[in-house]
Amino acid sequence: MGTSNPTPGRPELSVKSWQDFIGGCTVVVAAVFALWLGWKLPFGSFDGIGPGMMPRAVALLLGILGFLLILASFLNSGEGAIGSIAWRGLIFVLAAIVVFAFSVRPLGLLVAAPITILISSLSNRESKPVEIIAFSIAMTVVSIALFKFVLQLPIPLAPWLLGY
Amino acid sequence: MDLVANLAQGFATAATPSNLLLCFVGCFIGTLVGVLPGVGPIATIAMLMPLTYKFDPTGAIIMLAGIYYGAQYGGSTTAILINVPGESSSVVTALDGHAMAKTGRAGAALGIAAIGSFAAGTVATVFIALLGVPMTKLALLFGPADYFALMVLGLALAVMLARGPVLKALIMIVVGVLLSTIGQDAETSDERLTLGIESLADGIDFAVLAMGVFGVAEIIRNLESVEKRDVLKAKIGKLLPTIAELRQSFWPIARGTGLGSILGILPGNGATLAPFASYTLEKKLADDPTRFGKGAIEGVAGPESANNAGAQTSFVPLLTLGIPPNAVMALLVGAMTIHGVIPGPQVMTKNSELFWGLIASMWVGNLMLLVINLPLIGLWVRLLKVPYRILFPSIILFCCIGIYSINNNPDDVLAIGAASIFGYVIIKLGFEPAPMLLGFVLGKLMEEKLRQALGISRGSFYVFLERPIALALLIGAVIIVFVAVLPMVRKRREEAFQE
Repeated sequence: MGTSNPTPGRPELSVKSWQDFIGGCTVVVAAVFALWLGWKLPFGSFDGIGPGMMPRAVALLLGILGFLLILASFLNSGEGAIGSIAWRGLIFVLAAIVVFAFSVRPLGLLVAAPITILISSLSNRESKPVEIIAFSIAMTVVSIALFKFVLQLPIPLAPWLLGY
Repeated sequence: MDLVANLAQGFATAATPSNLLLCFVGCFIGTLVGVLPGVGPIATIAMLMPLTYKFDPTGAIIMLAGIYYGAQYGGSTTAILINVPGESSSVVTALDGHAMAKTGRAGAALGIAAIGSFAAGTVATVFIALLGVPMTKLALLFGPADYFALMVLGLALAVMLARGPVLKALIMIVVGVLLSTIGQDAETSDERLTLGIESLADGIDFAVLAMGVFGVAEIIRNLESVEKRDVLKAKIGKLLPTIAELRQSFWPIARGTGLGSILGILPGNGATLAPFASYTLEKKLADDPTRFGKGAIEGVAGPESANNAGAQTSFVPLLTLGIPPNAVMALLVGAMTIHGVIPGPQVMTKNSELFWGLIASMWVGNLMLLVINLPLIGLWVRLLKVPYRILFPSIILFCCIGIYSINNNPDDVLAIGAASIFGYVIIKLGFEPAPMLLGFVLGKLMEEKLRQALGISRGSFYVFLERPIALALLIGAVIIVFVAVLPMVRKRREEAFQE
């Protein structure tokens, strides 16, 4: 990539973009992992490409590109920073999804929908309790009306109460 | 003439009550997600795709297409009124559109955006209709080697047109291709890179990946910052531009339409370039370039027309060659396949009703968008005040319901969680996810075509040099990659994206 040296003669060797440095390392690790996973797949030959050729060739290319990104992180300051991680958002949004996945079949939409709304609302500091509860009831009614009755999807409604 | 007969057939298809309704629903939802920040057409189409299983293929595609170009319209509304581009395609519109709004000319900006888009949509509809037959004939000449070369060219273009550093865009494409190899091998049924996880045997579902990365991961990122939205306090004013403004906008609209129509056909998402190219062109041609950025109506008229024309002509590679130029088109591949329609030159011959019906519906949809956007502008302005804190839980719920409904399988919902962690990591590391989705879709096709090409030539790579189409496309790809890494062009490209 770039060729600019800050001080001619004695290039300074330090990471200028941590985002690119970590990004490059992640990419290299992912590429090595993919290479390892695909190691036993038959490579085949060019007139009969085996299942292993594409994954390995692509993983190799990815590794090289990741390495180039690491090199570039020493030369260019890059465009962004990683910044803080939205742990609160990450945890509650994922929790909402997981809870939906496990509750939709046994408990049905009547329970899964409001719980999903409630949990995901927790990820935002600005949420107000009364507003969330009212909104989760409203969204449950809307989603049941839309998905169950208008579009007639075979999604369980409340098996424990209604049997479907 | 054939064209007239074909278009007549198309309009007959598009004008059936159910298709009209679906077209309206699509345009309406599209405008909605275009207006609402944090929800884009990619996540929406992925979310709603399973709901279209019950419709006939033509109706389903008409509705999904409506969401796509409807979102382009809606995106410009927020760009003008609150300086937040609802879609990345309306970044340029925000520059002069919002400046116009601040001086009390919001109505004129909204009006000219709608008029320009409608004019562009009309021309683009005819353009697609004209191109459809010759492009399909061309596609029939394509052998596997040519297809492979075309996709290489598409990916090369995608690298050049992506935002941010070239190397990172390239990495994302390769990551996408690598992800596409996960799952059973198409020919030998060997399990590849599945880690022994059963649900990965069929490969990663595109809708799951798109929803996780563009829906949920985007939400998590938005939750990082407290939202700030300065909804316009000033009055919107008259929606109809004055005669002088119309006259001023005529040529920018015409040029934008031409630029957008041509760029949209390019594989590798040429359409994204259209508004930027149009803005730069208008600024160059203007008598007084300093007016730009301070509310020049040409800076709204040109890019908006280019944007809409490009959005429509980007259907051409999908419908004639079967190669999706961007992530939305890739989702439509999925939607078509579910309905048993194989994208490619066969669409026109075997599903001519769908082909012409879709084209005609775009014009009908543009007409509807005029109605949805201009008289109903008050509704959208009010919607802009819906706080994000009650918006995002609904998006999550709809994503969950949508993905569950594809196979009635809760594992798919968990997969969205996994995809969203992956997406969030990508975003945090400063990678642009859009090229990855394109690599993911084209990856599978590329491997298939490469296998076929080398199988026919018995392993000789000369097949790519002997066939004139393949050779020309590959040379094009090499030139593009070369140009993209040239320092001079790189600087220009950064400037263009910054404007």
